[in-house]
Amino acid sequence: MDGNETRISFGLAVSPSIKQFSTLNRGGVASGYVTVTNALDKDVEITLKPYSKNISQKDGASYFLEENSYKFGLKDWISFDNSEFKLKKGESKRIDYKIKIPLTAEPGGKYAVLLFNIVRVTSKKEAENMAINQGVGHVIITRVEGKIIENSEFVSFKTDKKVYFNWPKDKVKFLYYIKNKGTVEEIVGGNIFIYKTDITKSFKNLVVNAGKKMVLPENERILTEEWIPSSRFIATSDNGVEINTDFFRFGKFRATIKLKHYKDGQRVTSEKYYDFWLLPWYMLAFLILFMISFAIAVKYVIMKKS
Amino acid sequence: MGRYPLSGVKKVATLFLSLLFVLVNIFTIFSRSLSAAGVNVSVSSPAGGEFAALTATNVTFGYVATNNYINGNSITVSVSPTLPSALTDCTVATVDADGDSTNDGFFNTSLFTTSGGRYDFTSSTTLAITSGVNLCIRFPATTTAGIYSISVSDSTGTDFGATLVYVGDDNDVNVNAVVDPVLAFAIRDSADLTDTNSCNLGVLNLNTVSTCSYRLKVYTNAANGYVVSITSDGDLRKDGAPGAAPDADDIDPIAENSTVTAGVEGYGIALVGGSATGGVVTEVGDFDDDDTPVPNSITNLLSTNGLNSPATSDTTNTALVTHRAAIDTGTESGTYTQTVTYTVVANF
Repeated sequence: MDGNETRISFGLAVSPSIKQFSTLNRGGVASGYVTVTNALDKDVEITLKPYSKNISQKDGASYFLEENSYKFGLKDWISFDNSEFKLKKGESKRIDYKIKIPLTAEPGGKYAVLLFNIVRVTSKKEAENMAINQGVGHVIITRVEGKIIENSEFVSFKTDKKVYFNWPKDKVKFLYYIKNKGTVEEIVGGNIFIYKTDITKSFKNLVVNAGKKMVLPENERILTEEWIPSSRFIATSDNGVEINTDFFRFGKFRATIKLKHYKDGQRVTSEKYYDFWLLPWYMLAFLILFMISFAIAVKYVIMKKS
Repeated sequence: MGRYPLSGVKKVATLFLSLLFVLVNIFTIFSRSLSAAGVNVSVSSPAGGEFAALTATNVTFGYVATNNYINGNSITVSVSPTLPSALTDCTVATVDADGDSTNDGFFNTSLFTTSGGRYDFTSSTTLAITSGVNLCIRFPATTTAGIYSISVSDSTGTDFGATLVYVGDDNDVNVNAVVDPVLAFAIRDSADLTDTNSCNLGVLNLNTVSTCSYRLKVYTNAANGYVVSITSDGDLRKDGAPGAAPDADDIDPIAENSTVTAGVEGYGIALVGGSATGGVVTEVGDFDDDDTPVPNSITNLLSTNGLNSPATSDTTNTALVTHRAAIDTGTESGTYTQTVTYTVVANF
């Protein structure tokens, strides 16, 4: 057994799952390592292959491109000793790798994934209908020195539904769409304010992108935040006993996002808003019942008096 | 005769309006705090409220207020024990107390003493009740080692509280540790009892939809979670070149968001994303509705936004994939196979 042993109770594991290197010079070399552990119930053969990293247009998805078509891909600059090896059940192996930046490399962000795939352990005949393969990746992020461009566009902002009838059981999901036109990753920040009509009276403030998710260069991504109401009708806090006012939210609301991002090299705050409705079914039912009761009572009185 | 019914209507209307009035008042009363208490004051800078003795230091502290402040309100800040020389405004004075990018007020510099100061509001805050107010005062370079309290009380008489700063750290021991993010992935049987790498649909017949299931089990301690993607070597086929297009040699992939039906040739998967112990699972793209054809290029299946640490046998914090196939009278006999590949990568 070599390398660092990681106590993992199941599956094929990598540690660390993501490695961010500091900015590298052209011609420079950086070294890294990843430990892969076999916690499956059998011995396996593993292939190791670098892929360039890309992100889909809309859902923030991760795609692995074997060809280095992504301008900001790093895979062709990564080298390691063993691209195939065996791991016994319970065994770990440390994989050392080097990143060598060419002298001609363009400045900016560079990204790759080292993917550990299990060579299929059952034949198709054994699998009868379906064979299932699995792989797990080690993400590598770095930058090449030089003039970088930080520039992104805040495209749109909305909620996943226009009307929420099942509030507060439902959560309100906010989606904001960013296009990165720069040469390094964009990490947006900011706040979402929720209010009725006056932003200075906002009753909810959500932090944007607390997880510091990246929009890779020349890519676009829809990020999300959620307003999750408290599920308890009555709560106790340092301020005493309180009724959860989220249960009584009703009508049209406005959410304004103040998004901090880079535009032409400057950190700017862009603002957009979106209107949505909270129409909880139980409050609608109460109002309808109230109106029906009122109408019946009026009719009854009129009939009685006449 | 006409007046009497109207009078009755008025009575009923009055009754209902009174009822509504009572309900609104009950809600108004109960939606407020039933008791007042101090606020939780904390120091955001320097980290841990610690700084070196005999060093002029900006100290930022704050709390979430019960109400937003308006022009004319103030917060009195007291420091104890008394400092050797007076507090001053920070290098960057506090003008935006609640972080909404608008000026709220200032520390009245003429009121800084060796034991406190006062922040005067000149306009209304908007985020004091959500993000809180954060004020900065500068401890003088003459500050000696010790533990100092910073207490606050506002002019409305609503909020009060205190926190501590620790000057001098001779008796501290710094402990540092790094925990690497780990990602583990297993494909398990549908009960999450054993590892598996196959899924047996059995002998297909005209009267039923044949199914087989397994679970995708992922562990990570990375705060941003992970993304699981899926691809295949082609359609579920008897022979010939792999490909996703319907042809005579395959079980036709179903159309997205249609259902595999007995007696109608079709093949797809259904996904139940399950939960994550420390995040939310999202079924991505076409996989948020079932059934879905199996893609033959890498496509995202599901993602999470937080940690996941499933138990030894866990049918909650794992994703269930069910393959569903049906044939019709035109489906040729033979053995149909397919290889499906899942990969997991950290979300970032």
